[in-house]
Amino acid sequence: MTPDDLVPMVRELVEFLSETGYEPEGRWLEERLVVLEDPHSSADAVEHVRAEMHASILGMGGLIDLVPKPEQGSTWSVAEAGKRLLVLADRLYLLTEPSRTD
Amino acid sequence: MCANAYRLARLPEASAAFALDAGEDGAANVAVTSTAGLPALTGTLESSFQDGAYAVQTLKAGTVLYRAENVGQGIGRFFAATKPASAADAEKLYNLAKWRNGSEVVTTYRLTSDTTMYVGRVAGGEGDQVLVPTDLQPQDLFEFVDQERLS
Repeated sequence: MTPDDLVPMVRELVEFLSETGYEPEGRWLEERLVVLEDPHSSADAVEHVRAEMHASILGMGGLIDLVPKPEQGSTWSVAEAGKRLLVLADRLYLLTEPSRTD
Repeated sequence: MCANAYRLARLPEASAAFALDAGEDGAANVAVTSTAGLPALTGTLESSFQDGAYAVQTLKAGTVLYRAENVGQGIGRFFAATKPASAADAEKLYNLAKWRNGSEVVTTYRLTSDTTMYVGRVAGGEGDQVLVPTDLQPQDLFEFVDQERLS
């Protein structure tokens, strides 16, 4: 896992959130994804977005507090979606650690 | 403060151990410690507890817990042991300032069946929290009691 994995990983997370009942949270991440993908974004802007993402994960109100609600007919079961969310959250946490540099 | 409020207190004689104690209203102690095992937490779940320290406890049906959240946010996997008095208090206790999350309201929930959960100090906060194991769905364990606006 390298810092270059961050953008596709966040894209995957946005898609996952939209499929499991958390579109607003997905949009919040998508707005920050724009900054990460923009080659004209300043280093400070990118670092700010990474810090915001990192701070959005833990505890009450964080990413891992969410209880995924797959729509009926979804490929996700509730249990599988819960496990997937944790995998994605763990990856996002590592990829946005302050010590990491692109 | 809700009459059935319970608060978490560190047990001084046991490191990283917590107990749910009855509130000052003298209500029966409905929470007990337990040696029942759960899988060890890893990754972000573990990091959500201060220094990765938590205890595993079985909370009895009737235990009252809280969530500070925005209106319409809905139930989650983390619960607060202490009812925050204000939005500022909620932030201090539970380190809530994240993406769209806030603390417009405090919602009170009552546990409907004895359940073993993770209990410990909030990472970056001054309060104690309860985490529902990932193989359980919180909406199946708790009933809504009430919701109050935080100022």
